[in-house]
Amino acid sequence: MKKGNTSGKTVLRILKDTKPIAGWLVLGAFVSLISVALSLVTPEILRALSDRLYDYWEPAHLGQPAVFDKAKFGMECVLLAAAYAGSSLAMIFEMLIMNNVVSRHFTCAIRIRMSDKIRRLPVRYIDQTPNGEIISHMTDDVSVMGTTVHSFLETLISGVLKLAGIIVLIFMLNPILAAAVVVLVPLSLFLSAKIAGRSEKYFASVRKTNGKLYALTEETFTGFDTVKAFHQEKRQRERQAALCGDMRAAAQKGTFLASIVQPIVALTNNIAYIAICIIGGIFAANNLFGMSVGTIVAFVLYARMFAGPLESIAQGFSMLQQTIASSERVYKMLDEEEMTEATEETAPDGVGNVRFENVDFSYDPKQPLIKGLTINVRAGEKVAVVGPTGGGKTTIVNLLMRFYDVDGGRILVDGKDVYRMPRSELRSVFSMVLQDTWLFSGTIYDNIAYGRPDATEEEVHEAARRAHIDRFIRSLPDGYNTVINEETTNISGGQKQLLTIARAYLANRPILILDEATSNVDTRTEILIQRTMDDLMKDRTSFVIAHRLSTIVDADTILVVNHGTIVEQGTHKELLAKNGFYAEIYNSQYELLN
Amino acid sequence: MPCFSAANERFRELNRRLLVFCRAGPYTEAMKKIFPFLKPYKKQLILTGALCLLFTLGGAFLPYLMSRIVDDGIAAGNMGVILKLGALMLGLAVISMLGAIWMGAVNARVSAGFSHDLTRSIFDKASALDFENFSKIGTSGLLTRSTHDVSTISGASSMFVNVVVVVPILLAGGVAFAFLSDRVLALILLASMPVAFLILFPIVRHLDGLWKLSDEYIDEQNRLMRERLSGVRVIRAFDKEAHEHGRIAHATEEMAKYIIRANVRAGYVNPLCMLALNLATVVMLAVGANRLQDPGLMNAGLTAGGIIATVQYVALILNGVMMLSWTFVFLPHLKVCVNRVTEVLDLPDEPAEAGDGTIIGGDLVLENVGFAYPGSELKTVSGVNMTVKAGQTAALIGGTGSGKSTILKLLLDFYAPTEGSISLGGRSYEEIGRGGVRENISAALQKGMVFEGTLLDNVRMGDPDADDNAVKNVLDIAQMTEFAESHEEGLAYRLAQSGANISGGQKQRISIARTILKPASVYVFDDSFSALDFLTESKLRKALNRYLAGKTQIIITQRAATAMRCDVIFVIEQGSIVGTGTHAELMKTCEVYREIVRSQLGGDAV
Repeated sequence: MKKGNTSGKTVLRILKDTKPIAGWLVLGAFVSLISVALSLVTPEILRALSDRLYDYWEPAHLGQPAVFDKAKFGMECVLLAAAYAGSSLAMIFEMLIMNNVVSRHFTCAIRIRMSDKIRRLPVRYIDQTPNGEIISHMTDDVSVMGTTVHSFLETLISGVLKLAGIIVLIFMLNPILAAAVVVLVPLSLFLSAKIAGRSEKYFASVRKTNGKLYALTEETFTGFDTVKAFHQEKRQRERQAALCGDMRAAAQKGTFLASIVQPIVALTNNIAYIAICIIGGIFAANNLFGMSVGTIVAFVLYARMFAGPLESIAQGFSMLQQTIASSERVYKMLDEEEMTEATEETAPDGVGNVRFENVDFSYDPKQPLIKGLTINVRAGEKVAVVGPTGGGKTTIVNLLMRFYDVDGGRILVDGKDVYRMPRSELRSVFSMVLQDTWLFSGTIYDNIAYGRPDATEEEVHEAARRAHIDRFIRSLPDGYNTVINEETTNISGGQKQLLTIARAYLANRPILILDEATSNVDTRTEILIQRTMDDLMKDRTSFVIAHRLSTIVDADTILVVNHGTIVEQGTHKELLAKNGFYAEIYNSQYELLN
Repeated sequence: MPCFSAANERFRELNRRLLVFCRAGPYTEAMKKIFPFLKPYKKQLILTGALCLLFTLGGAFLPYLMSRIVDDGIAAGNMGVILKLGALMLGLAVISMLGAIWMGAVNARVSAGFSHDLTRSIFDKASALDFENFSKIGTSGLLTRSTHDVSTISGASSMFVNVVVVVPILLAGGVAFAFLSDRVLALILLASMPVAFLILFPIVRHLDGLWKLSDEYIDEQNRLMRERLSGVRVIRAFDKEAHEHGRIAHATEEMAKYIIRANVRAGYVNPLCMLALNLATVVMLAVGANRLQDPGLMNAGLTAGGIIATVQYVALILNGVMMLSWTFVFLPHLKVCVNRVTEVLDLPDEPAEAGDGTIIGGDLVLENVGFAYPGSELKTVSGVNMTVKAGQTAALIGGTGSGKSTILKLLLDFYAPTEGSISLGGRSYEEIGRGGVRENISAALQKGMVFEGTLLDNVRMGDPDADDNAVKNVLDIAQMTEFAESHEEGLAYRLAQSGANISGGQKQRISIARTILKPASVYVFDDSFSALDFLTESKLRKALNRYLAGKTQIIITQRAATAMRCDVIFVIEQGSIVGTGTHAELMKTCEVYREIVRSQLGGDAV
């Protein structure tokens, strides 16, 4: 009961979203009405034509006198051609309207609304929802909604009208033959739906196996060196063969079941055809019920027309289920709770004092991470965050930048409570250089100028020079206009990191967040990165996620993070004296050395 | 007559394509390579043809019988004829259905079998390639070929059967039956085929391209979205959400344009097909009526029922023409897929030489080794001399792109050196053979690859004969006991494909466990500790050194802290060894090494 209710609501909401195109939908409905009317008329004209042919031939071939009204026959031919042409033109016109309007003003509009929504969703939502899922809502689910709106006229207006029209017309022509058509044609659809359902089961298993096969193939090829080094070719081949065998069995059954739909539908349609021929023939031969050869022809045509709308209505209903599921996913995202913005305060003064006051935080309420954390960072000081990989070092960044909000306590920047100002104002005093260097697809110039689009060309070049990347950029064939994209291979990971440092330089903000690069950087570049980072930190308050010994030693405050919580806090000397977790990490490095 | 010349132009283009299809090289060349895969199903394909003939003719007979009902039954008022003909029709309809179902069964078997054979062959071939040929096509290239391309070809195989078997029967059957009632009407029907094709083909011709184009725009929108979601922190840090939204909104609008273009073109197919069919009907009725008035023809057997029946063959013919047009649309794409697949199938296998299982031991010596990747003139490594004595632990240190991984590939005989030689225990690699070399070198590779299967399976790849205790022992050394014990399945814990359910550090440690389980002469660790923190690395290395005491080890790394304690350190830069010795020696003699140490460990470690 409850489910039906929400489904109804979803359908209503889709209808509401089609409001901007309602005028067009009405026009489309009107056009398809014309198309339906014209297509219903044609069997009638064909009936007249066939009767005219037969009525002439029947006496004529027996040598009796017969007249053929050429003028009337010609008129009817022209009329028939006009009706056909009109019907096709109306179909084309409707197709053009629906394609343009639905794609431009319905699906495209929803996609843009979703993209707009992301601006106001918390980082938490984006972290917790796999990217692929959001993208699939935006492409696949919206496209399903569009298809349904698109075929709405087709199924509901023309489908239902056509069906009703045919039934009325054939019952008027001859109720007995009409009864045969109305019983036999839907039977074929019922049968085909039954079989299609069965075959779908096998196709689902084919798709599943195919997914496994893809993953196995990908795994084998990406790990080709390991496969070869450990002689695993045979094992992978055997696993692949087994999956192929499963797929073959399911595919064969599914394809077979799907393939028998056609013949069975053809048989029932043929039976209707034969029934019309026999019953109609007997009536016509005995001149019963005013049956003529033309009426038989008209019946055959109506019977053939009958299946089309039935099929599209049935399809429309099965599509509806899918559409409701898709729309619910889309609307769920559009309904997600948005971030609220406070505006009591304006941006921090930019001195660089940061204070954590009794901060409590957890990603999951069941697992408290930070309890009562207090840190006082004066302008120009350096805070290092250290700890094992996956230990939760980035939590501090998340809180500082307000990607996540604290559960208790507060954070002050230059004496101002960060929760009383808009996020963008808070962020305007921070620069970030993260380990997974994020560059967007665009020119190198635009990437450096990302934080300050108003910067002059000279300023951009100066930032690149200070990040020791200017010379490299100029050595590229297109210089600063080199486009960076997924296929970019001539820029290494280290160079990308230098570009993000240049970006931070140009933004020139009082507080810095640095995540040191650890892998995929060659020695020379690593030295460069280290040097430029040190340079960048001068006279700025900085938070460094540290991977190197040298960074830790001279920090003003070291936060030691393990399993997500801050376990120790202090200067290098204090922490060593404590002989706790920090001392263990630090000594472990020296154990490797000695 | 501009209209006429345009039609002429089209006709010539069509002719050209037909010629290409029927006889000229590329298509038949490509298809020839696929035919062997259809060969095992030769009998079934012939059966398909016969069955298709049966059911097409059965269906085509119905309108003819209907005309007989009109002419001999209704006109003559003969009930017996009507019932007899009706029963005959019913019988034909049932036979036709049975024939079609049988054909469906045969076809399902052929297409599933064909797809199965092709999928297996290309995978078998790919996994038997040597590295030279493997990297010629590349990981993603091979993936496309063995998934997308193969399924396209399999899907097309049924289409192929349609074009070769079903369409000719449909077309010939329709025309033949039309000839039964009237010669001229049959000729009109025959003439309508190329006309319908000329109308249809230009519409559907560019559809494939348009679909591909709109797919590209969809990909572009998705790419921008992925970029935005992955960079959400940076974007928000710089307050650029509005800017990013603008980019995506623009891409979405562009995408809509191309989707509309493709859909509109496809949308023309149905109404225009209907129109062609219907207008042909009108023409045939008009011509039929005209001919009916010729007493000579009527005496020769032209009847009203015959004309009505002939008109019904138009649908049959149009169906055939549509199938043909669609085939032509997909042919170019199919050709590309076939060529890509056969490119792989034509590559030679890596010669399968199994080793004899002996552990050779002894010193590992690289003498003046140089190597350039196939097709590249530039040497990736050159003049490399390294001697690792039996039982020593050696380190090979250098930055990314310095040639470290290439040396590992040479050590595993993935490639043979282009200059110089490698020997183990005094025997050259050529003498030992590829299989033997891989039995003697056990390597944990950079990525820490794991495979779908249990934890036990993954570790036991190193030594299929190892028992649970041996596996538990190496897992303990790899610091993975905690992981194994945290899951109630223990060693039977299932790892997802490519280890999607565990972290990078866990993958590395499983791969280390696998490596040390394998009995071998030399153990190589390629950047195998990079995803581990200092504490875990320290514990692991200590346990490892105890376990492998007396065994030869080579550690490939970028981290000075990892290399420092080794018996001998090789410093590699730009493909050459620029320093050999212990930490203390290198600090004195090797500038590159000093630089590395200073940058990573700071001044105090020196």
